[in-house]
Order: sequence, then structure tokens, then C-alpha cells
Amino acid sequence: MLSKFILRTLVLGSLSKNLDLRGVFCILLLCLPIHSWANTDTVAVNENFKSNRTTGIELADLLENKQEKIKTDLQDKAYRQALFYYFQGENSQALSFLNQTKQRLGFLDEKASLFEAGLQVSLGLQYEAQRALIRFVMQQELDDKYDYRKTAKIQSQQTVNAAQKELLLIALLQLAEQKVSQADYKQAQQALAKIRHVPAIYYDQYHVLNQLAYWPNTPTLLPVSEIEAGEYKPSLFIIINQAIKALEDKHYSKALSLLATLDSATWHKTEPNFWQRLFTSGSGENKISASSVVNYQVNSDEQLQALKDYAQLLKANVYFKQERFDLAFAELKAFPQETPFSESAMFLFANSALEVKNTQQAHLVWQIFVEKYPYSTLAWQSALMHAEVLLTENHVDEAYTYYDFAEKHFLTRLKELTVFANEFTDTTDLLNFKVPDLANKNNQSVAQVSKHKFELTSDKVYQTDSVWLNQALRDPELASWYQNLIQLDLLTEQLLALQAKLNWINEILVLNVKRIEAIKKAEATQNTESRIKQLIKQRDQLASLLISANKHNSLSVFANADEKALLTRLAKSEGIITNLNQHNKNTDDYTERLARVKGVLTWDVLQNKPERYWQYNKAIKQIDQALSLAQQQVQTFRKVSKQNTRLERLTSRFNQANETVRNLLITLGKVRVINTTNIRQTVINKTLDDKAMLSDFILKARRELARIIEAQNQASTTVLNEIEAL
Amino acid sequence: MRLPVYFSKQIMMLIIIGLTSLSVPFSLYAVDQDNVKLKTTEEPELASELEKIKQQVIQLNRDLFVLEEDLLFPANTQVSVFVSVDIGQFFTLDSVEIKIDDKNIAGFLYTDNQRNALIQGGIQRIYQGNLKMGEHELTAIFTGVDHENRAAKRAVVYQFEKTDEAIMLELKLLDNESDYRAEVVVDEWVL
Repeated sequence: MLSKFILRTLVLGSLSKNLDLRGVFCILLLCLPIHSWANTDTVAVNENFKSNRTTGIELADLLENKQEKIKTDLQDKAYRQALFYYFQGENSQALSFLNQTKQRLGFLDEKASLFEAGLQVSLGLQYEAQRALIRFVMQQELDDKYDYRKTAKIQSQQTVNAAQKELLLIALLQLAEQKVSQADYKQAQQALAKIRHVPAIYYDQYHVLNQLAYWPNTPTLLPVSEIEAGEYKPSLFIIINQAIKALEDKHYSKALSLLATLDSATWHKTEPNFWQRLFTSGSGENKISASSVVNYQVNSDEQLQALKDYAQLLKANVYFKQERFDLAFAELKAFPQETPFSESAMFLFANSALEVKNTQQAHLVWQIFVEKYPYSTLAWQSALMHAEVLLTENHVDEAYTYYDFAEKHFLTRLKELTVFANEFTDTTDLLNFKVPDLANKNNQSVAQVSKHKFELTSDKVYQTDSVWLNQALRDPELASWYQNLIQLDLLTEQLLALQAKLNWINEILVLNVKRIEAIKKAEATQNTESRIKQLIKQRDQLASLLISANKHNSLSVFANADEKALLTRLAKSEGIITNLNQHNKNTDDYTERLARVKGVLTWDVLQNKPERYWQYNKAIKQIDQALSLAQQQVQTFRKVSKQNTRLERLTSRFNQANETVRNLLITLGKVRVINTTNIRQTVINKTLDDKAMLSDFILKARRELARIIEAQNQASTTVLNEIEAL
Repeated sequence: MRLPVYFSKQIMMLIIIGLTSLSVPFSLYAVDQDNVKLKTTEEPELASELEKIKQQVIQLNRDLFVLEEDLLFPANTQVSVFVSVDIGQFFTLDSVEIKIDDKNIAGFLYTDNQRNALIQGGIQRIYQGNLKMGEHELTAIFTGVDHENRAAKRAVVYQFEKTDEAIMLELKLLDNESDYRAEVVVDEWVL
């Protein structure tokens, strides 16, 4: 079947009787290049040809398919792909994937956006999370307004809204928690102030966070909803905090009654739901930053016992403040030894013993205390108090010995502190300062993992063997700066990994550019454009020749080689006859015979014409196919040509990314310097304070020693004088 | 003997608050605690700077990922294969092997974490590559254990046509309640 294009060329083409069509067809087929450029006209004509042949069917198919197929919910698919990372504990990867999806699809749906906000909060990206959450809050307020006017909203939407509100609440609580752990109480208060409604299951968290954010003031809390108010029971953490507050406000009876409720306290395990796990960092398998682990409910026997021990200590403190020393003494007499509060408890116990005149017990405890906690400031105070009391009791020699011991003790500490301060000042890598072996191994494994994964937070916590640094790290601010340092190292590591990836991308880009240049060069030397033009022209001529030959029954076009030889001979004979006729020779017989032969030959050729005409048409079809192939190749090359532009665009994006990496590395360096300076300054200041305190204690001890010596000298002088007088 | 007590952050916070009150009656030799505080105002700035960097790293990672994808897997040749599990009660997935036109293109051995992530609704992109336009055949073989703890395999063969648009095929491992078997279904995403 001939295409419209071929028909058009056949109609318009000129007839050339002298061309051997089959031979030209063969040349045409062979000459069509495998890789060729075509001019615009040719491409346009061929595209026209192609579209005329296929458009109708394809459009119909397309329309039919469009009616049948429903588009896949790509938002949901993207959300679930992010979940795949999330459930493996790869929050950074999940967030990064959602970002990529947002870039690709242009936006994220509500579910994915909320998930994104949750991931941002869990990774410490509060600013971004806040922006998203504020948007949700505004949307909710609008929804609520809408609900007020039109209550007939469909149930499913109401369920979605309820879920959103719950998720928003969790996010805000988590945000507040992170701010509290960063000692940024104002921001924590702001986050908590955005909460409008608190169901009972979140009330403990809400209450504790408010207590911490507003301490030492009393926060104004939202009430537990009326329906749940009966079921709600405040957690032990809340009670403890209330007791501390009552103690601060000197409401001792209230503090004691609150603490009494903890005596019979029990706990039961509560399972967090999916969204709680997402937003509550550090829980479950999704371990986020170690700096933001906060508990609101008792989750183990150990925790419960720790709380009870703490309550007992508080109770003793209340008794002490009430000057009911016997009760404080009795309370602490049975205080467990292995608790995190034993240091405070021993100090209080010794002082209570002193107050109840049980000085023997007080001395004993002070002595043990100083031995057990040689680096505790309370123990330092105890050493002096111990000696002071001994002196008051007129145990001058013992007091002298203990003051002497205390002075040496303080001098040793002072020397150690000076050594520590020098070592710390000299260290270049703060995170490697006196790191225990086990922690070092763990740190290495963390670094190895992060080389293969995209991670923005680490559950690594800086550990050190240095007693002085450990004491300094009790300052949450300093601990937070150390955590920042770990974060900065992790980010630098990630950036270097991205830099390596960029280098790899650059290599690919360079290779692609070279490949395209090589193709273009080859094309330029082959000059395929003019060749294809020439071939199309020849095809047009052939097609015209064929149509004309068919119309005029051209024997020379449809004859085979033998027939053509005969035709040539006939023509030659006709020429001879014509020549003879000019010489008045009788050629009738020749003419008649020639006409007979010609008639037979013509009949023969015409008999074979349809078959040969069909063969010629077939050859034209083959040319069409070859041209179609050439057209595809032309399109391919056009794409390759466009790839050059595409590659330029990609290279531009690469350069931009490269620049970003460079800038970020510089910024990271600057932030690291500030952070390191803060750490150094804080530790040095803490050291100076400790040194001052120790110097003060040494001075005190020496002064007392001098006083004792002076007194003893005076006494000796008096005795001597008395002896002399005698 | 009492076990060492777990130090939770919450308790640590309470200790800090508690010690303030405890130290009041015994501040005979206590130093001025206000001197210990240093540069508290710089902390939020540093935290916000760190946050900004984090956000930029995420954006950079995103840009690089998109750049890499655009460079290596342009839409006209891109093919992606995903794996998902619906319920996963009748088949515990151990590994997946995927072929396109009889060529091995991807294989994956699942850890418990990865398997659970699929069971909980996650979708895993197991393969991304390039294919020429035209007809192709995908074969996927899922190996695992059935609900009676016997080794089991599930396979699927799927014919598809690659056009000049990216093609995305999701291999869904579905539980069939009627015969207590899991089956693999191919879902070609309509983009």
C-alpha cells in the first residue's frame, strides 16, 4: 500500500524514461544511512506521512485507555516508600525521600505533609516543622469554623480532622520537649501555648512539659476534657514536680502529702501508637537524638524505684526544712545506697545526724562521704564541716588531723584540676578527649554506618573517662554543645559523602559530553544531511517515472533485460528501415515483419507489466520503510542533540550543588569553631570556679589549722608561763 | 542487693531541680552558681544555625538524587520496580529475584526490619534502570516460608510495553483468604 506521501510525489514527480528503476531502487535502499541527519522539510514530510497513516487508530486507543485507566495515587505510593525507610529507623532517608517526591510531584498531600512535619521534628528541624504545623493549625481553625456553620460534614472527613488534631498535638508536645532539652524555655512555652485541646493520654506529657518550661512559676494548664477527667490520674513525675514546687514555696504539708502518694505507687505499661512513636524521638526502633529523651510515665520497675528513692530524699529535705531533724534522720537512715541520689542523701543524712546530736554517726558518714565522692563539692564541704565539728567538740588533735587531711585532699584535687585544664586546653579534637575504649569502638561503628546511609542525627553520646569533664557535663548547656559537635561531625561526614557523589556525577557528565561531541563530529564528516536530500530527490524522480510509465504503458520501463535488448534492436532496425526508405528502397516486407515482431514484443511486455509494476511498487514501499527508519534515526539524533542542552542544564545544576557543598562545608567549619569555643570557654570557666572553690577551701583549712596551732601555741605558752610562774 | 537505677533524662531534670532546693540549707561554702552560666543567649542561635545547615543538607541530598536520576534514568527509558506486601500472613518473605527479558536485574535478601517495614505498609523500590521502547517481559520470583512454615516460592510473569514515558511496576504480595495462599500481582502504575 502506498502512502499519501508517495502518491503525492508520484503525481508531482517527472517522468524519466531512461532510468532503470530497479537499479535505482537498490541504490536508494543501500544509500540510506544508518545514522543520518535530515533537513526540516524531509522530517516534516515524513512526520506528516507517519501521522496520516497512524493518527486515527492511536488516538482512539488513547482515548479508550484514558477512560479505562485510573491514575495511580502517586502521593500515597511516595508516602509508603517513605514509610519503608521510616520503619527501618532511617528517618533522615525517609524525610529526604519525601523531599524528592515534593520536588517531583510539586506538592505532598496532607497525610504525607504531616508525616514530613513529624520527621522534621524528630530530626530537630523545628523551624521547618513549625511552618508546616502552623499551616495545619490555620487549616484546622478554618475547618472548625466551617464545621460550626455546616455541621453536616461527612464522617470520614471528621475522622481525618480528629486524627490531624491529635497529630498536631503530638508534634507540638515533641517540639516543646526538644526546646526544654535545649534549655530554650521560651520557645517551649510558645509551642505549648499553641495547644488547644489535650486528651487524657497526652495529659501527663503536656503537664510535665509545662512544669519544666515554666519552672519555677506555675503554668496555666488546659483542663482534661470533662469526659475523661474522671479516668485521668496524674503521673508520678507530675506529683514529684508538684512536691518540689510546694517545697520551694515552703508549703511543707502539701509537699509531704504529695510525696506520701508515691509510697504505694505502681506502674503499668503503655504502648505508644504509630504517630507517637514517630514524633517521640528516641523511642522504639527509631532512635533519634539522644539529647531529647524525656519520660512522662513510669515504664519500668527501676524507674519507679528511682522515683520512690527521690521522693524519700525530698521528704527528708522537707523535714529538714521544717527543722524536724529526727524525722529527716529516720527517713534517711533506711535510704538505699545504690541510687543516683545517694550523694545528696549522705550529705543530708550527716547534717540531720548532727542536728539530732548523733555526732558519731555524722562524723562517720562525712568520712565515708569524702572517701566515696572525692570530687564532689558536697564532699569538700563535708570535710570542712567534719573538722569544724570535731573542733567544736574540743577534739583538737583530731580536728587538726582532719583539717590537714582536707588541705592535702584539696591540694591534690587542685593539682589534678590544673593538669586537666592544661590537657583540655591542649587537645585539638574535643570529641576524642579521654574517650573510653568501648565508647571509641562504638563511635567508629557509628561512623561506618553513616558512610553508607543518609543520616542527620546520631544517637551517639559523648563519653569520657575524665572525672572533671564528666562533672562539667552535668551542665545541660555544655552537654548540648557536645551534642552539637557530634551533629556537626555527622553533617560534615554526610557532606563529604555528597561531595564524593558529586565527583562521580561530574565524571558521568564529562563522559556524556564527550560522547555527544564524538557523534556530532562523525555526523559533520559524513554530511548525511545532503545525502538524505539527494536520496529523497531520487526517490521522487523514480516515483514520478513509475506513474508516468504506467500511464503511457512505457515498454522500456516495464521490459526486462532481454526485452530491452530486443527493443533496442527493434529501434535500430526501424532506423535502418527509415534510412532505406530515404533511398527509395522497398521496405514493406521489412516494415511488416518488424511491426509483427514489435507487436509480439509489446504484447509480451504488457502481459508482464502488472507483475513488474507491483514489484516496482514493492521496491518503493521498501524505500518508504527505509525512510521511516531513517526518520526514527533522525529523531534519535535530534534527541541526542537535545541531550547536549540537557547536559548543559544538568551541568549547571551540578555546579550549583557543588557550590552549595563548598559553602556548607565553610559554614559548618565556622559553626564548629563557635561551638568549640563555647565548650572550651565553659569548661575553662567551670575549672576556674572549681579552682577558686578549692582555693577557698584550702584557705579555710589552712586558716583553721593556723588557728589551732595558734591556740595550741597559746595554750603551750600559758602552760609554760604557768610552769615558769611556779 | 539493689540493682543500679536507670538514669532517665526526666529524672536527671528532676535532680537538677531538686538539688537546687536541697542545696539551699547547705550553701555554707557554695559558690555563686550564676558565674557558671556562660553564653546562654548564643545557644538558640547555634541551634538554629545547625538546623539551617541540616535543612540545606537535606535539600542538597534531594537535588543530587534528582540530578542523578535525571542523568542516569531519563523518563523515556526509565523503568522502576517496587515491592509491597499486603498483610503477609500466608507468606514470610525471604528474598526476591527479578528478571526482565530473561536477564537478572535485581535480587534482594530481606532482614527482619525490612520485612516488617513492608508488612507495615512500606513500599520498597527494588530496581531502577533503563529499557528500550517496545515489548518486554518481567519475571519475579518470591522465595520465603508459607504459613505452615514450609519453604515456598511464588512467581509472576508480566508482559509490558515500554513507551517514551517512565514505567513503574509494583509487585504486590497479596494474601488470598480463599485458599490461604499468597500470590504475586503486578500493578502497573498509571502516571
